[in-house]
Amino acid sequence: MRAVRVAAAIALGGAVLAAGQVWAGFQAPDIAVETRFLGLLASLVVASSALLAPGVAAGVAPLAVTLLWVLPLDGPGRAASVLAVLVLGFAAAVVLALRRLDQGARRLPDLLAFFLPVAFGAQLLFRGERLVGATASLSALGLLAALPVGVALAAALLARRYGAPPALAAALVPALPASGWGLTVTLTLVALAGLGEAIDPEVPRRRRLAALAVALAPLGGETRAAGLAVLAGLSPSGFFASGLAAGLGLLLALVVPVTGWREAFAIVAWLPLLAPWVAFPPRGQWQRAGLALLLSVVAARVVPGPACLAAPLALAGLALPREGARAAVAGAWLGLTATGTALLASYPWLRDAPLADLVALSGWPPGWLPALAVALAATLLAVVLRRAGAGALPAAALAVSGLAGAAVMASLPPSPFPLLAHDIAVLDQSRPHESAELGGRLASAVVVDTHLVHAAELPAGAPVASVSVETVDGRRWTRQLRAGEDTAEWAARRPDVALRPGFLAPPPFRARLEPTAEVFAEVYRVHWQLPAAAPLARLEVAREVGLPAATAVVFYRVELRP
Amino acid sequence: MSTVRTVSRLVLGGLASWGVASSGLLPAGDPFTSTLNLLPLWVAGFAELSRRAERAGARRVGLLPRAFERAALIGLVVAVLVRDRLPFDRTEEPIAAGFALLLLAWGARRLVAWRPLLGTRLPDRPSALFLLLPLLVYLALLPWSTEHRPPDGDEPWYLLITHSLVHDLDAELSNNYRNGDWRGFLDRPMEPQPGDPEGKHGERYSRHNALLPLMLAPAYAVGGKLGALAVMALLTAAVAWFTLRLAARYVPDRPGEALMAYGLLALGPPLLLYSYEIWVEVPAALLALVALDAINRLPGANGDSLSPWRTERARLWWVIAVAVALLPLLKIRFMLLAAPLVALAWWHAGRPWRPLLALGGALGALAGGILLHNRLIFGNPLKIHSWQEVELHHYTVRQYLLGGSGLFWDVAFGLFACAPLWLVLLPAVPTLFARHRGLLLDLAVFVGPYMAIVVPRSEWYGGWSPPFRYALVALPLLAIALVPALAERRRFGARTLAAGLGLLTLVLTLLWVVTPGWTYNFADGRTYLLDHLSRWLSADVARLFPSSVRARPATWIWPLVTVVLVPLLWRFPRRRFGPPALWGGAALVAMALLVPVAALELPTRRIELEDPAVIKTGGHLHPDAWVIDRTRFRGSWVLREGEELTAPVVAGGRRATLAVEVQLVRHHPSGAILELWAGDRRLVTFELADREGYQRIDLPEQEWPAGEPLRLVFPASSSAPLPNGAVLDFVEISWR
Repeated sequence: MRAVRVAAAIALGGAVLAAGQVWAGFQAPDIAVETRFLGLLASLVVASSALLAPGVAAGVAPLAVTLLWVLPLDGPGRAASVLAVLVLGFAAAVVLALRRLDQGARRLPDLLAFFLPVAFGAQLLFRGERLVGATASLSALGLLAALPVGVALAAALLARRYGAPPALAAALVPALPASGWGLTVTLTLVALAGLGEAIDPEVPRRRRLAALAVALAPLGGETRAAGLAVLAGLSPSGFFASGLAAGLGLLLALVVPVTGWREAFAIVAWLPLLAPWVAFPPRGQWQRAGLALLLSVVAARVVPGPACLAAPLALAGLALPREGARAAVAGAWLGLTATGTALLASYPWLRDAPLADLVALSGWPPGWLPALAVALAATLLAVVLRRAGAGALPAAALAVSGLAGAAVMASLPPSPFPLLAHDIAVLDQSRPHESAELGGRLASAVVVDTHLVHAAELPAGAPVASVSVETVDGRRWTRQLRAGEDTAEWAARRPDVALRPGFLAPPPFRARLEPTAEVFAEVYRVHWQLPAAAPLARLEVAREVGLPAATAVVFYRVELRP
Repeated sequence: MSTVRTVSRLVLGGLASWGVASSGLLPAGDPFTSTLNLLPLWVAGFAELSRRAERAGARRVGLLPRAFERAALIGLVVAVLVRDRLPFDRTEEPIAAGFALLLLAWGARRLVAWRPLLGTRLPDRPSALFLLLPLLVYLALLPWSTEHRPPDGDEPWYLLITHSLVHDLDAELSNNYRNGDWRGFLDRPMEPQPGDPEGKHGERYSRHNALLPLMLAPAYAVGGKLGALAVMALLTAAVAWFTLRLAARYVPDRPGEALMAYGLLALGPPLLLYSYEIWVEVPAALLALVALDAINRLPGANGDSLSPWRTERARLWWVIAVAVALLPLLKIRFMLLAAPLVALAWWHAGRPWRPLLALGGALGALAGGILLHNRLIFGNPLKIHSWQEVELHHYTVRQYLLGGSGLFWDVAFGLFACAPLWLVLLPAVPTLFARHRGLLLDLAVFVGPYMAIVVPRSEWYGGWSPPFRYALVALPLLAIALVPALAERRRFGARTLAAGLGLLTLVLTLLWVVTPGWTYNFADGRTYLLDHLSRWLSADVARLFPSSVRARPATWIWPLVTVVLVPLLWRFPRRRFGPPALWGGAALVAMALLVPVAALELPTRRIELEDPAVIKTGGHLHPDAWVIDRTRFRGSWVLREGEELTAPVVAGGRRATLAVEVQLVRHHPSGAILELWAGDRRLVTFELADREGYQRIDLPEQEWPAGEPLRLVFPASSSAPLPNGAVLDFVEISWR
């Protein structure tokens, strides 16, 4: 029966894939590339969803195909809508499948039947851009196909020990800061799960030895991260083992640091932000939550890179409350952060640090302030909902999404007035400037989306263009755009550009799949606060005079903000 | 206590709505202003409805769906509020689709949870919750639909009569036209409709009857257009409720299936589309349901004796009499529904002569009165219609076939095209014949005479209206007719088919709700959706779908194929091959793929030159799109000298024989020569003769280069101020 279900999922995914390919066949090449990519991504995510919750996938597939077919082709709207449907549909499928999964399920095939599609689908949503040219790239194939297998196996093993929801949280939470499962996070999870098997006296000896070997193997590659995972894996062995792990961790933090205490302290803020339940752990989880908090300090000190918190975050995931208001609040928060991060990590945004950008949407920079606010709000909410009983989950969903929505609304600037919203302005040698009459429109800021063409060789900081505004009373303000700071070469993701000595690019605002090169062009956003809010008469954008002849500045969107 | 709580919650919701409206959260012109302002009230209403249902014995909706609903609602509200700060254009439609999806999902989920309310046998009187649920859904759709679709079709005149009734206490409209009273509900000027009667002293009346405006008047007096539309929503919800009530007479032991049929009827097109519009077919359907319900409760009906008491019997006869009498007062053509209802009542009640004579006499007197009134006021007993229209021998079998299949299959006006899930009616037919002949007979007697007149008319599709207008009165009985087929829904084939058709219906429903104007189609064999596809693909997509307005091979192929395939798929295979929803979804997406492939691969045999797939450098449509009863004319494109048109052609062979149907409009004596090109190669030139009407020009067989479009060029031949014109109907191509 499972084989038939897989066949049906493949058929549904295949139909979506064909829909994208056929539709692309009728389009101009510059649009067709994006349509093919979205069709491929949608087909794989829909197939993963279908293995989890067939009904949800069957609904998502025609909706995604309809959006792919009917929405306007220009701008990021179509891709954003399709991905929103895929992300939300996949999240719904995961939650439904988790609910249907027998909570007492301990058979590995049953657990793998759940975790494999979860891992594949989520990895595709986080790292779907790697599908472009994936067949030619071994690393892309490994990232999208091999790592999810490792994650699913580790999660399934953890689920046998802790239950499926905590195992899912343990797998998912470390993936959020790192935009999916990279090698570090995957090996951390493998080590954590392997050690759990190895120290379990009920597991047959041979399997324990094999598990120990698997748990220690990552030490050869990702020594520091896997070492921390081993320490985290000691937590189920009791208070003494946890104490030992804490002691060893502190020793490591003192002996082999790569990060200063101040920086480490800032990094640790991700833990309460992502797993606020560590601030209010249920009875029996204090030890695990405490160790997670301690190890996060150690990890921030000794493990480099964005995935440094993998082990403590996984441990925090395992401390997920199982029932009651705490579980409802924790589940709602995890759902919100996971879907939000997936949306910002996926095309057309492709943010380098989607979680940080998600937090920034609330108006607070990532750090301890939002972390403490989230932990406090979650604790209070759990207390308030304690008497809600069975209704805690819907109430928590309402409260969490309501608070997050209110924060986003409060932080967003007032409605902008878009210029160049529909047309792209390319400033090159033959047309070095453009202007627009504004008729006295009041503005306090100007937002500009740009990228450069044939500009990879420009030194970082070189002026490339200017944006000028003239007020109705004759004042003129100008803002220079500089390469590497405000904007950069469109192909900044391409290795031959990215690895060029001295090349710099700011974090992209969004991406656009280029028709010919099969690479994502990055678009960069600059927010220019004017010296004072004033009624503007005219806006001019101009290409810098001394630029190489081939270099062009592409303006995608210019907004005036009141 | 419970009522107090309900009222207090609704008052709180209302206050919250008032607060939101006063806060100016969204500016007045924003398309979501009314939706957001009324949202707290709707949420309070929906919550209260759920609470009441649970108290009555309904299952509680699961935690996860409720969590999803709440998070989605918050997400959509945030999306509305921040949408103009996002780097997207045209965000309104996707967000509105999200709201509509949430609303429909909410309703469907509640219906599933409310299954216990119907018990093991359908109750004689279903809970009022089954009236309130669709009513709330319809009311929640009103703000969006009214802001995105001004009153159309006959609606403005019904509203103007209502306005006159409220403010002038008469149905005389000359002062209302003069004063521009339409400004309260319309932003374009109104004039009397062609054929509206004029009094001796310049009085202007509408050809529409005043009964529906009388029903709307009290609410209009309070709430203007929105008030009138709220009444229409109430009438539509009552249609749904009475359908469930009537189902207890025909299929009492199928409560689950009846609930599904009710759900499709209430929450799906076409009834959903009529809930926010003003059409007499809705109250007509309600009156017919009231009469049918009473008929089925008469002693002797269905072989039982539910109402044995003399007083009760008299009450039922009175109900039937009132319903039957009101039908022709809504519209004279509903006399054809009223008379069969009297016959049905007589038959079901054990064929008593006294009530028959009384009712028949009253109905005859009423009909005579209406005819006399029309004769005096309009100078024609049938207002704008002729007796010839009701003489059946004037119609051909082909007209019956076209109109009959068009009501169901026509891509622009048919029930199945509007909501494909109704195709489940096809597998229901054999079961109805085998086990539910009573329902089938009642349906046939009830709508038979009416359909016999409506179906072969040139305007069988209902004119400028949403789909399935004229047959809407039969929709409740068709919904009940679905029940026997739904009883077999557990088979793999049935579930797969239901999933595929259901998903397609859902997508189309969202499309119709979000862009209400797209449900109004010109009678030209196309739809807005197909026109968009044709333009995007640069291919003739419309030819793949059935149209009874513009008959083509697909008009016959679709009915034949679906009549055979759908019942077969519904019953076979019985064995399960994995999740049916997945196969249904996959089949649906795969079928959607066939559309562009077929449009670009099937050889072109006929090119309708007025269609959007044909690119024109100039000229105009003929006759104008708004010509009344346009199907009387041949839809054409007028090409003037110096202009040309280019049509995509899919070659079906290497050689082609072409024929053009064209009419010359001569304005100067120079020769009128048309050139026919295949891409950049001129194939032939031909001169148009000075002849009345259209002429068919058969052209010699030509070699046709594959992939080249057809170009028809009308070169300029003189500098006369008024150029000659060619009224081009179509090009036919035979391939060899």
